[in-house]
Amino acid sequence: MKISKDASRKAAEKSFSEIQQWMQHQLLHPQFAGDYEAFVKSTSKLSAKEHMRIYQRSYIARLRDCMVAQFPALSHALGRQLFLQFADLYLLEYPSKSYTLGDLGQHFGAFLEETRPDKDAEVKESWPDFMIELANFEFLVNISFDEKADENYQKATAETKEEALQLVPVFHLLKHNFPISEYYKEAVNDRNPELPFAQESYCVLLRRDYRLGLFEIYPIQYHFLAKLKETQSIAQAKQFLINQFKVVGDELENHWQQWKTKWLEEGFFVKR
Amino acid sequence: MKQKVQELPDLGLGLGLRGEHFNHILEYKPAVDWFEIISENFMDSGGRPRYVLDQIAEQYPIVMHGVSMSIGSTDPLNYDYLKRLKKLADEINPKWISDHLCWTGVLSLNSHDLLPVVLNEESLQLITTKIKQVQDYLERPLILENPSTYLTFQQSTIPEWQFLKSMVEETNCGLLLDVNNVYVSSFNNEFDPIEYIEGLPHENIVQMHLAGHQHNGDHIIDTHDSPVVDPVWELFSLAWERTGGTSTLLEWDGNIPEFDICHAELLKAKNYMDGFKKQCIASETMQQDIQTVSNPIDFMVSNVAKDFVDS
Repeated sequence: MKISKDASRKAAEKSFSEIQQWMQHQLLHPQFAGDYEAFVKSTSKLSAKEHMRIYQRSYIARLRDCMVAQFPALSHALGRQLFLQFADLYLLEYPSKSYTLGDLGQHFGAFLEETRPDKDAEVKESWPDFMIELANFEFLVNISFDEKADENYQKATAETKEEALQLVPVFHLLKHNFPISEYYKEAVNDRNPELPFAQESYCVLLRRDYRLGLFEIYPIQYHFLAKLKETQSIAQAKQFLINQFKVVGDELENHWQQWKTKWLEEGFFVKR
Repeated sequence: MKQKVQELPDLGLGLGLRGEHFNHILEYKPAVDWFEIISENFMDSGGRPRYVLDQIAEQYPIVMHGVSMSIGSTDPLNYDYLKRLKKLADEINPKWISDHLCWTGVLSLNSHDLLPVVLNEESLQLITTKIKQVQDYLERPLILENPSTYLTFQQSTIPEWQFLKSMVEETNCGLLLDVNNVYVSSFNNEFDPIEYIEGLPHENIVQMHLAGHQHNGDHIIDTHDSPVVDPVWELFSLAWERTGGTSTLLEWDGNIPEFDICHAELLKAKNYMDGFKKQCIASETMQQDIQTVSNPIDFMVSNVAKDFVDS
């Protein structure tokens, strides 16, 4: 396709910076028709617009793929089409500013909160709460997989003295208003879970030997582990349960022995 | 800059290191000459990827290949990025560090694509200035790859091969010649791939890339998800002859097969090292007509959900 002398002169006047800002705008906002001929040469096979369209298509497809990879359970919960609609809007509102795709979904939970359909309603629906909790959880899973931590530890065993037990360095203790951990495991293992009703749940997300582990726990265990994480002292964690929850000492000791056996197997503890 | 491009070693035949192959490499220690990593996958890693890399780097030569330097952007260099890049290099001691002649975004945004630069005197001056800044900062030569491109700017006045040659003359940087990208770009932008390869400064070509692509009839997408096609092998043969042979690496980033299949594809390169026999590159027929993405993300995003232990 030939362009006029005037158009040719105008095209030649575009600076390096102008050209890049124009192209980036075309990627982020493909719905606005651009002056393609002023920037892009046509070939015998494709028009200037069709050449540009290859980049536009790849831009959104690549980032959509990344969002699905970072939020597989949320993608299942919303259904792929609706998830992609949310993802597209998110990418417009929060275009990536990071050199790594690992950060792409870092604001997704906040975005869902900001744009929830019942934002201004007095009575809120519960499903947006579930989606927001799930999004925040899934991003934490991504962070935990690769976060920096001292992995040069010695594993604790049944013989390790209680005073020497310490929680594994990557150890996240989580409380949710929905059964997030259970739903997540079902979804990523392709077991097609139904959307859950609200139900308080507690879980541990940890990394041992560079592998993630996810374990549901009881509320009383959550409080015990929270105190242990805070104080690094099993004695203080036990005392906390006795004081706050009126647990009888002997009963607690029985529970603790069972918890300890299970948690040692699951890799909760390293040797101090 | 202490090291010169011409002093960099010929590492032989290497493969792109991908998470899917971690266990195989650790267990079987395959006879691959070297591995190339995606720098960004390991720069901030404190988890399994970095743990595995440290083990592999003890046994194989490693080259760092980046996708986010954005040397062709009109934005200033990101020194936070460069600091992390240099730290990783200090820790794993790669044979060299490479990236692409491209930009990934402006105004502090990142498209996560390898976007084409306008090729003219203005961009040449800005890019050579930035290459010198990077080389000074990293204290080593920077190796830059020709990207696969899907458009040519109206404002481009210099052929890409000539642009690369001028860039090398001004900065003495190295080149990573991606032979598949030459083929893809030549089809999409209608230039002669043989003229392109003949015109490059061969003495500064430190490394070559090979990969598969997808032919969609009126354009080709650089998908890295299939075997290398014959016309690309022919171009490789020409490039091998002109360079006198140099470190060569196969990239396979989408639909990644088992390690042995990737390795067998890489070793086919030995069949094309005895001289360029043709005067033109054979044409290729369309393979598929589906929407595909260039530079697939599979190699840049860990499949975390599948990495859980039973719990």
